[in-house]
Amino acid sequence: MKKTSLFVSAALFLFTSMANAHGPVRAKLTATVTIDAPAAKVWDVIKSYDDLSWLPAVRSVTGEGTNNKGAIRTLHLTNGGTITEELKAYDAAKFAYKYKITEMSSSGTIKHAGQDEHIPVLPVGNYAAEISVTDKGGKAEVEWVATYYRAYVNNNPPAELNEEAADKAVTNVLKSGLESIAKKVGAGAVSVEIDIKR
Amino acid sequence: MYNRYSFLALTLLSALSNVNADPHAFITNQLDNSVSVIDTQTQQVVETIKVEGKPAGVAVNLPLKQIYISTPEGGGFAVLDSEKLTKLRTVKVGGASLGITADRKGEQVFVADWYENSVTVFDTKNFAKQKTITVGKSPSGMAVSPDNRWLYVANRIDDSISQIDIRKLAIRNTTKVGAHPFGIAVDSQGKRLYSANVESDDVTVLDARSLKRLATIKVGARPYAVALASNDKLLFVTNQDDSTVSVVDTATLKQIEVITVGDKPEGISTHPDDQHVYVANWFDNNVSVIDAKTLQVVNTIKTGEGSRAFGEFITP
Repeated sequence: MKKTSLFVSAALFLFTSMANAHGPVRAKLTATVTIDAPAAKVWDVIKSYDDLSWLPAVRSVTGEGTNNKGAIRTLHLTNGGTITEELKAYDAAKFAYKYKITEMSSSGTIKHAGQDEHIPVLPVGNYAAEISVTDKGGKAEVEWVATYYRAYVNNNPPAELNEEAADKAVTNVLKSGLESIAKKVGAGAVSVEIDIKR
Repeated sequence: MYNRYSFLALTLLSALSNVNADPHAFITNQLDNSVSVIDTQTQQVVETIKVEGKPAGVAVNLPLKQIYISTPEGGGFAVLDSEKLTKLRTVKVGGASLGITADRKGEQVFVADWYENSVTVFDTKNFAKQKTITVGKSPSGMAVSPDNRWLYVANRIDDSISQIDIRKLAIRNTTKVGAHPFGIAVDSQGKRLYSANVESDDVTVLDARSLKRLATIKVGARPYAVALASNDKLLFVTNQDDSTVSVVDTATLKQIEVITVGDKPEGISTHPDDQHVYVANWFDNNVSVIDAKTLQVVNTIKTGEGSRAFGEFITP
């Protein structure tokens, strides 16, 4: 009995110290899709910074009506949450723009390690991304690259705020968005590739 | 006499073995598990060396012609030959090694452990552990004074910098700086110490001997690391979230210019010519080269995925 419990606590200790050894690390998630349509036509769908009618989780956008660097847009989500984003770079010639999340509403609160922790609507920290369209022999390749940390900044995150939760949420947004763009231009079924590195 | 002759002999020898003598920049590509080696003369990547364990930090041992690469997920560091551009060995430290630096004589290497809150000291002959010094929480950037007297370490979560006496391998003094200091640099006279404070978006200037706070300078968003150029007259600071480098006049202690570089600029190091500043762009997978005279980006060199290069990464 004693032996077993010793073994268990040793294993637990090992597990805890391993979990400790992985603090917040910046992730890079790349979502790619090839759409059977001209690149310019695909860019048309996404080129207005304030227009996210192609992104399923977004109900409406409040914006400034420009594609100028520094422009702010607020996403009103179908689940009632909001996300505020700033335009960091816009390149019409290259069919690309970059933005970052500056504010998010909370979708709930949990108790963890004796503290109240808010769960952001997108459970990530310090999120920035770039979306771009490239011509690939008459077809359009859309690449959406997001970088972010998990939402929990200290060691030993709760499940709602860990890497897995962050990756899952970002994957869902990017995948559904790219599939929706394909649908908007009337292309057939597409398969979105997801690559996560950290 | 003996000294002069041996110096001559050494000069001759190094002239003969001058194959890889141009300064090289060693860029850790964290997401690729590799190190890109840039020949700064030709501005080309001449070698890519495989280093497992998410390589992040870089240190140069000039006398031994070695490069040390910290591997946070490999629990230690790798030793590279700075001329043959090969990996010689790896050294286990334990925990998550991040900040790394060598003393000025090339006899010791210091490795900061992000989770163990310690700096471990190894000799560079056999890579035997000499001592583990407990420091503040999440130690990250390190620097050694030019007279080889002091080792400085930024304790990120403690918002402080510790000054370690290299002879005693013990902390002499610790002082508060801005929020979450990460990269630090000491000037060539050993007079001033600069820290990039990630959470307070500023740089703290300390007297390098007394650790007295001299100034706080506002820079861009989430500054990561710092480097000096032009006779210590200019300080360059990478602003991760702005994709820029702030240029600070060290006489007036004011930001005088903001230079756009790649996305998520992180590691920054000055070329031995004291004029060109190299910046590793994590998101863009490349390196921006800044001319400190014109304050312009003069070149962009493709490297590998997740270029981080935290530390001094260019060989003399």
